[in-house]
Amino acid sequence: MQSDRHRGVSRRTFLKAVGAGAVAVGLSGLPAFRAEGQPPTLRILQWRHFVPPYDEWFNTVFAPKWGERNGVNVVVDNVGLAEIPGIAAAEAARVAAGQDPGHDLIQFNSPPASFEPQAAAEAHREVIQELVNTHKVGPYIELAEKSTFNPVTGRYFGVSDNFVPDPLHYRRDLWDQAVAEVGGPPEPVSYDALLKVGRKLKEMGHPVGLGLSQEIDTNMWLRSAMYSWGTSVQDEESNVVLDVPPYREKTLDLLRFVKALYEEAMFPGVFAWTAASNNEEFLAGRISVAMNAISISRTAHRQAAEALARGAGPDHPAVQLAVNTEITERAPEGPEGARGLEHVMGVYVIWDTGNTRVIEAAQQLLIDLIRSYDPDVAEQEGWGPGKFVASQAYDYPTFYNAIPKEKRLEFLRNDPVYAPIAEATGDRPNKLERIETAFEWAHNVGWPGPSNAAIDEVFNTFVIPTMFAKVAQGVASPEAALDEAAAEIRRIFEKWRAQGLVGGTR
Amino acid sequence: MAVAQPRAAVEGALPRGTLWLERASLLGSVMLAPALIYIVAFVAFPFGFALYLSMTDATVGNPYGSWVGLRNFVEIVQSPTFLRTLKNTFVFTVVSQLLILILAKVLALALYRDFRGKGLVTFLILLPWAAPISLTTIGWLWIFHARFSIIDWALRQLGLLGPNENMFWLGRPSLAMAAVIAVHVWRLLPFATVLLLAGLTAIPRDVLDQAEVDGAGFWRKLFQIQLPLLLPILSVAVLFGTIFTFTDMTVVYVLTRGGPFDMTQVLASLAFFKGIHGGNLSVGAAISLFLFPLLLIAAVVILRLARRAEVT
Repeated sequence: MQSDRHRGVSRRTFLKAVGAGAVAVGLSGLPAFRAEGQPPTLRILQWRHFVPPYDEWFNTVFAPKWGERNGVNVVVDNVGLAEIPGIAAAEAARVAAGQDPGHDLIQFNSPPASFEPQAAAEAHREVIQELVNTHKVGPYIELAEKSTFNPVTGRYFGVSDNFVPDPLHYRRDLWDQAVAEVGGPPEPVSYDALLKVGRKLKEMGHPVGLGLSQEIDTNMWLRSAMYSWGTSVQDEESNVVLDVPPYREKTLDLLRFVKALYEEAMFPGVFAWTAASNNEEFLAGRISVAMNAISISRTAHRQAAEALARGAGPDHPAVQLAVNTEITERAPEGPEGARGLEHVMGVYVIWDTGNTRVIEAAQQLLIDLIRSYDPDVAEQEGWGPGKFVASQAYDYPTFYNAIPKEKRLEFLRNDPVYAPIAEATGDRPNKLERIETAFEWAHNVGWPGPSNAAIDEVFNTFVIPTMFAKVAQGVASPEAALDEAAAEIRRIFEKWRAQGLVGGTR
Repeated sequence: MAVAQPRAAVEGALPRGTLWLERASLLGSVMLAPALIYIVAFVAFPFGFALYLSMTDATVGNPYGSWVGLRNFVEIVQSPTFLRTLKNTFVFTVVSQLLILILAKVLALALYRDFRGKGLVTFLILLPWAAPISLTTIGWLWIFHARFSIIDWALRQLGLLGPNENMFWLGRPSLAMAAVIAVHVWRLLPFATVLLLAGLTAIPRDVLDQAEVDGAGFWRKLFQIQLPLLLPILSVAVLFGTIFTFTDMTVVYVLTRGGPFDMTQVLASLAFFKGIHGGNLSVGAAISLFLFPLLLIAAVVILRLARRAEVT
């Protein structure tokens, strides 16, 4: 393994060559860099993106062109979101055994802190520094820092390339109708409003749709509510505080609130939801409110565009659904603020295989992928529309200036996906411009502490959704459900503290 | 009648290299070797490694861990989630096996007789066994869908549900448990049916004829002749069904992911969530191995019972 380090091109040489190549390409269009000898193969595993055109861009434009330019064979495997943890676990075991893991670079969709011992932490740090110091695309936002950096070990277990804002989606027509009868704010800006107007919405046959199931969306909105109630699983030092005063009372208060919200404004289907259920129910016109990434909006836009292309008029139900689908400006407000979460946290991990050539290629790919957020850089480099446009603004940058704010707003204000529908219906084209505020209110899983390995296990074993669901269905009192969840969480924290990966003492 | 050849004559007739294979002990070992290698590589080694993992503090990032003895087992029995999961695993297995035995016996008796279209009926009964379980469970997921359930639609057509009413099969604990049991019964029924049908066919016809001559009716023949004679094969069906249900995670993983609030969680799914999704490999291994001693005892008891009941 060590010999690879000497046989391969050093990182400095690689970057110099790429830099020189970039200049050369600007002048002559020649390939920027070619690794000496046989081209290394960089094998990437990532999810099938919720916005399919992104995969088309990454797999058929960015990856091949980048590979050709840099003399690297790039192989991309796309799998379902749920398959990544299993594959990654098997690959980490192979890395630990000194064997070929099968992939060199894996994109996770939540912070993979438990994989830290097999991750190339120093390579991650170099990528972040390179992007911030050399390419000036920083700062690396706090949400990303907390989702990839372990303060206990001082190591970066990954590099975040994107976060996905998680706003509240609501049906404007239904909300207006309900508010006209019962009063309330013009938008679901607070949990109180959700409960008050939600009662009427349920009566109208369009209940509020916030999951209480063992799936990602439930995990997200419940944490969002917890943060807005001023409670959380851990504090900044990674001590478990869920059941410790004053957090205990706040958690109990929220448990009672969620029970009321379920009984008065929701329906039993939310206990059986999968990650796709709120999308399905919203797009089927059944529910009136859902917390999700802009995938709900984008699917509504696509369906409307297809209807218009078939010759349908602006009154077509699919077109009207798109027109009436709105997102809120920020997460709903609770007693202690309007705090939300990221919906998906894109984190790339480079396996620490010791194969320097491949690790360096992975580093360079990550640097260029993040640089490609900027459509002008992407165009100049021949990488097509770039990451932000290809994902239709689904992937938001974790390096704040990877695409400057004015360019983000320019895209969102003249949203090419929604513009044809806006034109056909007289609606405004900047429907999704509000997601820009997510930088102010999106927090990490584990806030106010870091997204550590214990938080990861609590998240992926659905301890929080289970606690809330039991209370909502009336099978446990708030106190009993809280005590059971807190005991489980403490067992999990103790295990990871013993591994030296998680801080805190209680 | 075969005539024994003198050894020297046989040796003279065979090529020299094949002679050593004629030795029974050596040939036996050679013939058994592939099976033994397979068992060691794909059964014994993974099992031993799982056992090792369960006694360490291994995680996905540190897959070898350090020795902790029985600490993981002590830890999991303190978890209410684990205890509920253990109970669910028993409930699902016992209830589904009871239903399977009753229904398989009914189907086997029906298929024992000749009737028009028997081949087609047999094919249809076998279909759930032949289809991939993950795929068919996705089908069931739609059948039990919160809004678009075909069962709800049928109930609405029958006037048993209101126009916008739903049962929410997978959202209510008791209905979700019933749904999981239903899918287990559906997928294991063909196997038990085929086994029992084979057992029924093997019962000597003259025994049944004699019973009829002696005036035995359907129930008497069933309980006093067929079931006792079927006991060995019934035991095998129960053993396989129990192990399949105990160790299956696909149905729960696809259908409910253990929900609502862990009410359908089984040991296999909890082990997967803990070990792979949660990164806690050692605890996941401890959960998955927890029932091994019990299953081993059950297997030995059932096989002994079956051997005792064998008709020679």
